[in-house]
Amino acid sequence: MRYVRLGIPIFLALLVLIGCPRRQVVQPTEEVVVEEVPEEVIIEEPAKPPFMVQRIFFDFDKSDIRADAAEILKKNAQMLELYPEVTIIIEGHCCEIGTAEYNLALGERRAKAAQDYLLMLGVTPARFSTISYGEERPLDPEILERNRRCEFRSN
Amino acid sequence: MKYPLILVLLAASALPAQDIYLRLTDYGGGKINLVLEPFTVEGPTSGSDFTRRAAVVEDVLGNDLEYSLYFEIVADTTFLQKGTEGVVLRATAANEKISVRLEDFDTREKISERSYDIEKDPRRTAHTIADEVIKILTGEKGIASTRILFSYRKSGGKEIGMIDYDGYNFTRITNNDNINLFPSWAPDGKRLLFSTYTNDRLNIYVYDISERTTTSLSSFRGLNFAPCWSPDGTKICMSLSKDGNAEIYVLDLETKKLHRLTNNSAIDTSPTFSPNSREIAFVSDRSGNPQIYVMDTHGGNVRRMTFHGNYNTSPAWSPRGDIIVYVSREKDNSQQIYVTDPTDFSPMRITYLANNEEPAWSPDGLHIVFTSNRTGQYELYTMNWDGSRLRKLTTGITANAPDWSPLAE
Repeated sequence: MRYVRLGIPIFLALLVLIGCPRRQVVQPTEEVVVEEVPEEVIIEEPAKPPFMVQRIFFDFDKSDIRADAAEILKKNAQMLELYPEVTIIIEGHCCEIGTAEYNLALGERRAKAAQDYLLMLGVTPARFSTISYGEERPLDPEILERNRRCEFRSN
Repeated sequence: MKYPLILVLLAASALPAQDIYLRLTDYGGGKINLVLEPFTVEGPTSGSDFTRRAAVVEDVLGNDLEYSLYFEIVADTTFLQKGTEGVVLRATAANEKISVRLEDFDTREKISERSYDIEKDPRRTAHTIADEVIKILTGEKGIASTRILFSYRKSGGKEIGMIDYDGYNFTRITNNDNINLFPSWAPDGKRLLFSTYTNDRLNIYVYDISERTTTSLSSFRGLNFAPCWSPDGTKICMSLSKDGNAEIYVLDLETKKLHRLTNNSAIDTSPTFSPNSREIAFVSDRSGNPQIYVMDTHGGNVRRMTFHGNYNTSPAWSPRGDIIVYVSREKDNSQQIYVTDPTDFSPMRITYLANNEEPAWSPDGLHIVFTSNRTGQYELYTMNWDGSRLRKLTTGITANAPDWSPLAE
């Protein structure tokens, strides 16, 4: 986009310099710009969607993969298939209810549950490692449900 | 409930010592009447630094003695009849020193007299005097010079800090912008165990307070956490997830051998030693939800302790051995502190307001430090073992995981 922005004034300046002596009306400005844009977009368009994996959520004191989480994990697995060079760290997190130590163990259980599900979908084991942050890194301290989750961090 | 055992222990342990003036025969009712006479300050004019420090000693000493639970502080002696058992404390401050004299209320006979330097931090002097007065009059070791470790939120992470048992003198222990968890005292009171993240792993370290050195203790694959030193100093128990999920291990410090105590797919964590270092109370969700269990230090003789409520965590064994304090999740989803007898399960709820969690015992077994969010943020409080006499220790920081130091040698 930077090239486009820089390009427009230069192109306009050239138009003024070159075009003006022949024709007095500087009408085609808009049209010329429109012709320039598609060329740039075609060059920048990626061959595949950008790498993006989504977090999943869990019920209180549970590490079962819920139906909504399973859908997200399927998409995440497809993404990992598109990017075979990417390795990820699966982070398990919990809400603040309960002790820090129990939640660390529960967060680990959630991370492993997510890992097991991705393995079941055919992703290679070597691409994962797991870590638990327990209740130490809440996404939103005000909404407990938002903190019972797994994050997928590319390594 | 075998709470009277506390009283028996108090009385029994007080008996053999030589210079015990009065014996505690009852809890509360048998407190020693103590008359604190106003301090006499000689020499410097009022408003001087010495006068100020002497006033701090007087104030803090009074608080320490009252908080100890051994004394009934008598403010007005006109109600004390002739012949009443009691002690009078007189103090004279002069020339950077304070002389403390204890005498019998009835006969005015001297029990003891000792002189102390008033330190730069007069609170320290007061704590030293308080512990000596307690020793002389009851034979017990006082807790006035003890300290409390805890973890507190700082810029997205958690650091470990330390305060005096009455909330004063905050000291930073860690300052590494990391997540530092589970500070736990070594029985020598000079070192502590804690967990922190290094290279995407949660490891256990030993920190030496005076040397300010950190040594790695456990860094297996996965989580290394919830460390706890045995009171006899020979073992450290902890939770390790190197086998795939959290299991309890004991490290024998003499043989350097690591013994696995639990072996199942459930979470096993929060281990805490009994005062005789022979048993471990811990949390396991082997029944489907977290409950408190007890086992011996070889992993045998496992028995479940808690049967009411479906979420019981955070056990801490009283140094006197007769009470386990823990946290239970109520039907209203709040977390509340309970005490129970470890042999005859009989829980008694001792907190009611907001959430109350992470209880830890004072080394004399008479007080409990814990966290509560009753002000809207988690802060540290202490209370007596039965839930009475609440005292707020911290303000303005989100604190958790308190651990009360052992008695100073």
